[in-house]
Amino acid sequence: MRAIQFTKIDFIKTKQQILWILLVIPVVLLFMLRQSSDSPMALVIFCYALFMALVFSTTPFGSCQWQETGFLLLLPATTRERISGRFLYGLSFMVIAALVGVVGMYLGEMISGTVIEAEIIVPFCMVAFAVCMVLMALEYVILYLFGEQQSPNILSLIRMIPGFVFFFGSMGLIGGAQEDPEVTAAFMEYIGGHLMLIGWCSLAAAFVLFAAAAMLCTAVTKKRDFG
Amino acid sequence: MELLEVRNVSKHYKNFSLENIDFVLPKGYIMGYVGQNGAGKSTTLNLITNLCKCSEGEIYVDGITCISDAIRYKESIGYIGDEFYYPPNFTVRNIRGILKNLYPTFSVSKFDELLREWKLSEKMKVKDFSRGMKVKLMFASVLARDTKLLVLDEATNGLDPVVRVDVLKLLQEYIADGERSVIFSTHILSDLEQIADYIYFIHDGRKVLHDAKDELLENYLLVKGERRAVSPQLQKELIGIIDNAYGFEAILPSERADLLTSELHFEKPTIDEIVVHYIKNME
Repeated sequence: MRAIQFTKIDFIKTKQQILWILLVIPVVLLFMLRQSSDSPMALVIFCYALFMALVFSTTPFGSCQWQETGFLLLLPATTRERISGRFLYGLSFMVIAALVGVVGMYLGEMISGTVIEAEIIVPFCMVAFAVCMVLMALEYVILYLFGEQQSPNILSLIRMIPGFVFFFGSMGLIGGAQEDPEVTAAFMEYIGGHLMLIGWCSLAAAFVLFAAAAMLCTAVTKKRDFG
Repeated sequence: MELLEVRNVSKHYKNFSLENIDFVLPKGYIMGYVGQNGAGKSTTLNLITNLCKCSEGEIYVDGITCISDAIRYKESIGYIGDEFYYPPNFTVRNIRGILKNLYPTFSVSKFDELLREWKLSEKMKVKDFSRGMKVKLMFASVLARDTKLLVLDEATNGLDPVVRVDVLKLLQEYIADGERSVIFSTHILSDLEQIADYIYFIHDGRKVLHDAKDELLENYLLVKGERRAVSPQLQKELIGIIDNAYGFEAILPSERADLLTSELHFEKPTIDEIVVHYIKNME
């Protein structure tokens, strides 16, 4: 339960950034909806929300000034609890973003009037979420390996690169699927009716990797001194 | 009964080593931990609070090490540093919520009472607090729970004299029940003069002096006079000779007072003077 307290600390620390994101995401989504009414726009919206989560879930590392890290280390908890708290923060942040994305998707479908089949959109969202979890775990591992107090430049690189890889990667896939419907159809035929299974498997694999990353970060941080 | 035991502790960094620090602090006492900047004071205190890991040796607080029971160990320590460690966008309310959930002995009523007494606003963000208010807030968050050892790292730096007096009074009240102790590093040695029971003086990562304050003050004499009045034998015994317009000034172990002549003046030194002359001696 102590881990949750560390999640709470991270949320309090990043309250302002979260409010900012909550304000900006709907504006960006509305702008996107006005630009195009293509059916994959709903997927783009979801990916954009996850992209924002990927970028901003590293904010607590940026606000970890030297003394503040000391404050966290002084609190009565183990390293595992402290790091689990940070990973829980990232995961909850991503869940919130995914929920915002789902609302955006729904609005997008309502406005454009085109509805993507649930059999396609749900597994797509599950896989996208799983990929983001893995990328976030990777970000956290790198940040813990470098230490919790980063220079702003390094932090910007670490937080932006995975986000852009995800966003432009998923955009590429969506665009490719639209441009080449034959390949998409062949792919769909190949995987048969296992789309949901793929979605669930990728989520399960992502959770395992996420937990492994938290354990790796704990092992790395346990040996490290403050300052 | 010892509250803090620091046993042969060493810490090695690339450019600095803390070597073989060994002392005990009994319950109900205050230890002043003194030395120049970079002497290893903060390193020692960081080792006690487990912000850093010892390269060698062990540290016990109330009989437990951080390895044997990290949670109890951290619960029993209250730390107040030179720099304010709460995140700047936190309010007092945020801090109270976190401490209440993480420390089983944290008393909300005691915390609120201290806030009222020190007129600390609950709604203000802590980044808007003055230095004095920040120190008081750190004290309130520590005093509102059941700690055994208070670790102060230059906590009185930059405080105005009124707040400093309040802080020193607080420390004396803290140890009054005879069950708790304070280890206190500071540059303001007059503070130690007032409240410390023991002095531990380090230089360049190594112990120079460690004794009860009163013993220390008894064990040395501050000698002043003209250089020509110093015999070769006395010259060997004097510690940290500083020449000035009137001659010289140095400290001398009291046991060698027999070497003093009537031409030399001597008096009881302050902790400050002992430290300064020892540092001069090591240069």
